[in-house]
Amino acid sequence: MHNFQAISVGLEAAGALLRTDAEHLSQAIDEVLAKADVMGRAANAWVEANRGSTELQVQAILAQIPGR
Amino acid sequence: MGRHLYSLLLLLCTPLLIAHVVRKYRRENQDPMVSHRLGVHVPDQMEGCVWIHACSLGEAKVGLELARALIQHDASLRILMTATTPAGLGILANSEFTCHVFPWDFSWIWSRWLSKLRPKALIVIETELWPNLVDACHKASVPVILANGRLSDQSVRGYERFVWVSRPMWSKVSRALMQFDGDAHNAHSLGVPAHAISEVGSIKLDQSAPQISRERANQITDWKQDNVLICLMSSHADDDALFIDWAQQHPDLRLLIVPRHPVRGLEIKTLADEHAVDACQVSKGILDNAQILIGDTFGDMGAYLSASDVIVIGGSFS
Repeated sequence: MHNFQAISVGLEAAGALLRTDAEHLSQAIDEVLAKADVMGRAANAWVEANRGSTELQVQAILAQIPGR
Repeated sequence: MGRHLYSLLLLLCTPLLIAHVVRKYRRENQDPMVSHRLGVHVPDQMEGCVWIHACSLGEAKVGLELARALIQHDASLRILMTATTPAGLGILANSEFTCHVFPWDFSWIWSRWLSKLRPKALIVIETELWPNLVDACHKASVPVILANGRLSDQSVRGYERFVWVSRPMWSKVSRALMQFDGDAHNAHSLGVPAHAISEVGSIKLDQSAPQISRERANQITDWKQDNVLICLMSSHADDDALFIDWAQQHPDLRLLIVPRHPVRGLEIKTLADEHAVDACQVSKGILDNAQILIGDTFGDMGAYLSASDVIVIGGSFS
């Protein structure tokens, strides 16, 4: 999760991701299978709520480019 | 002083660097492009460009999304894109933008590049800042912008081990557009001035879902039949052993292992053979009796994800 630390925290808080360890893998998979629909909808909602970053970054970058 | 020591160490390590990239990329049947990495070639006819650097595949996709959005706002911008890895370069080479190999971080290379390119800005995607590059841009009054920035706590600990060279580098970043609150906090702790930091979310969340190859998705659905399919995505060697062992104990389930580096497909197949679990590589054809499928092809991510019931992210168990 090192490359996705913040995204994984957000998804977990939204109920779209389950964190487990090797010892509890089977139990976690059973749990995800049991609530796959709910988790899928939560993931979709979280992604939708966090869209729009490209436009924010473009505006910030253009403001930094000299002579514009 | 710290940066000069870093440059000296980098110079001393150059023979090792060359040996490393030659061995690594030849093993993957890729051109190591050593002369490009040593800065022999400078991009032509790109004076006054906006330079976007993306390390590898994921960053290159983000960089392309950003480049296209910038062009939509200002069609007069000329974009140069660089990447480090063959996967990143591959996707850039197939785009509408000029692309080039990102050289190693030597001051003399950057002075040639900056004097020839005279870029309006350097935009670094996500995380890959280099001390000599940032210093050269700072001296040439080229703004350095970290876009879609992410900095995990683990990365911060890594930078803090080399604070003598990393803090001066981070303090020269003109603008740090960080994904989330934790990334922004970490950028400040490394030395980026507070006024230069913004929390802007992730461009990855604006990207459309990967395209699904219907043919491949149907092949996988036919193979899994009515069984539950667990997908181990972006797997590393430690994950493979854990999951093959786990599959052995659950013969009623099917397992799809998608290695982070597809070149490891045969290595995973060999490991499954050693565990006496039937496995096959997608690149060599899907066998009905296999319990484990190894997704070692490019461009099939959408098919792998759409056919799976549970996705496990690899590289997260250690």
